[in-house]
Amino acid sequence: MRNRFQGTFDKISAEEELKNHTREFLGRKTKGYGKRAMYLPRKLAAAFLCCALLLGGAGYYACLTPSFVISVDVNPSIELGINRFDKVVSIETFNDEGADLMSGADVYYLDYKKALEQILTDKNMEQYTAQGQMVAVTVFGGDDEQNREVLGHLSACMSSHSNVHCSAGNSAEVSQAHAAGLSWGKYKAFLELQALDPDITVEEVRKLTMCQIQDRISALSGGAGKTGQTGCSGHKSGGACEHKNGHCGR
Amino acid sequence: MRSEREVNRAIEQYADMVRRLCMIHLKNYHDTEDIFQIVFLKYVLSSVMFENEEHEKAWLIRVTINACKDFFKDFFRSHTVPMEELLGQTTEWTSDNSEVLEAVVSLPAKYRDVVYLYYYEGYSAVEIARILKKNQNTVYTLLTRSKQLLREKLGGDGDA
Repeated sequence: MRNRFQGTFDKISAEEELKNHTREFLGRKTKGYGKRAMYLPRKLAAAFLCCALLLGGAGYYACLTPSFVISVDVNPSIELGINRFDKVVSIETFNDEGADLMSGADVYYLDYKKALEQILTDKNMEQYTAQGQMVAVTVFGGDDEQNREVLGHLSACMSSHSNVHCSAGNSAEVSQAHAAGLSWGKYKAFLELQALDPDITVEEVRKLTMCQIQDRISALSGGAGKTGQTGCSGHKSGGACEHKNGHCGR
Repeated sequence: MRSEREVNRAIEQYADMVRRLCMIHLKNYHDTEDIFQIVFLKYVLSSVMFENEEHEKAWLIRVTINACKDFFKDFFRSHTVPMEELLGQTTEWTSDNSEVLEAVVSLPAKYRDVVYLYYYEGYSAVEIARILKKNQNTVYTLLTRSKQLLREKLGGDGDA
């Protein structure tokens, strides 16, 4: 039986025409077998693009997303968003004075210590600091350890400035401050004043400078004599508020 | 994807085998050409790394048989192979050749591959079971039954 099968099936062979048609067909289907040359680079390019997008996304997140915020309040009220590399990546102003101040200060991507130094020595800011008005610098948005660390750096670098008061805030209260349209430093002062004067409103506080708020607090808490002496509410005497020396705390 | 050189080598080496498998299943040259092209296109696009020639040959046998089976999944295609068409595909048939071929193609489809692989390609039942991914006992049964059918058609003892 095997021999009969051999004899029969040996006569069957693929015609040259069949083979040639198949070669042509395969050539067409594979676009001349050029696909392989293109296939790997395309895959590599796609993988590279994915990596680039991933790294770009991560880089964007790391570079442009604030990991904590520093609020600066005198009368200008501003908040600086600081990324994980300690660079300023966002600036938010809460009043016209803040907008005026930041329009003249280019602090984007500066180290936050340098940025604060630049802001505090800006000529627009000097008109407030020269009057001895209190500067409230508040750190918030980071974790406790980060806030503590930044506060430490700020207390060191702000020690050369008089009237600078540094503190750390918490994000929940900051949200309330923003909802009220105030920066965190000013909102904190508002809460302090409101505890002594329940009739005070956010609108009223919005128009006051930090120094004026502190004067009111002092007056209501029994240190009224100082208010007149400082002349802070007049904005012109150059008298000092209570916080004559830069100090930091929580 | 495999290179053109690799594919041309495979066509030269296995074209006859694929053609024979097509011959026992398909009824005309046009269908054969379709399956022939499908089989080698699968070969081109396959990423299977063959361990040796036997592995490669077994892979092509399985792919060809499966392609033929898929071809007949179309309800309107006939499983019947008219001998006139079949014999017209090649030349120089002796009466014995045509008798053997007619006997094979008249077998139910499930016997044809087993018979071809056993009698012509010389595979054992165990090897056929491995190639076709069938149970060994199933292959033994198919072989026994097909030998019986062939004996009825061709006479003789139906074995080697």
